[in-house]
Amino acid sequence: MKNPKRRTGKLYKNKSKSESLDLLPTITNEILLSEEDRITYVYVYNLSKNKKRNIKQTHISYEIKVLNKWYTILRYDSAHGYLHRHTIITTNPNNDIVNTDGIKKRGDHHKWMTWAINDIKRNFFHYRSSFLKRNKDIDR
Amino acid sequence: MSKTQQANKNIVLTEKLAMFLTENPQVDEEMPDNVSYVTFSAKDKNLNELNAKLIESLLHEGKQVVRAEETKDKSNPWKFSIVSV
Repeated sequence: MKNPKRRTGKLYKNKSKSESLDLLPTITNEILLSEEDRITYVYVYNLSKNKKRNIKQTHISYEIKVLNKWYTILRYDSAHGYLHRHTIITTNPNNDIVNTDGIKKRGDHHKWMTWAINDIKRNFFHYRSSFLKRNKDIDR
Repeated sequence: MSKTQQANKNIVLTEKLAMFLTENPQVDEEMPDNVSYVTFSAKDKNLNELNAKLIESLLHEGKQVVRAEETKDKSNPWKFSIVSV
């Protein structure tokens, strides 16, 4: 019979896999594209043995300022193990359109974060004008 | 079709739905609060497979999900169905 007090390496490994993301360090940064456009990116990471940051989850949002109020109009996240986009329909941020179309599929959280930031940098004017076209009353 | 063309085509699909929902607010009003719409193309099967997986993840997260299928009917361009667990 096996000694019940003895722990195998596998058990320790399973424990670290199930480590809650809430307990890991989180970094939040902003990139100002203009006075009225900004990207906010957040990532959760753990440190590898060589002190390298391993990103475990990422969240990137694009916000616009209208009449001194900031609105999130688009966000990317990798919460389900792949990158996907949430397009906010109106000024109510609770209802959105979620999809994976035209989004980088391969890679890891770090590559997805870089891709999402670059996508917003390239297309922010388009995202902004589409949102404002849908929400013509926002500045009244 | 290049990757850029494909991406642009798909961004258009999302924006088509967003514009439809803002022009027809009664559709959104009939839906539950805190809802996520997941788009399904009338043509792109690969895209639809990926978005079907996305529905499962969103439900697991506790979100209310509505499946928005593009139709070929110009007078009724979207078909909506609430997805339950």
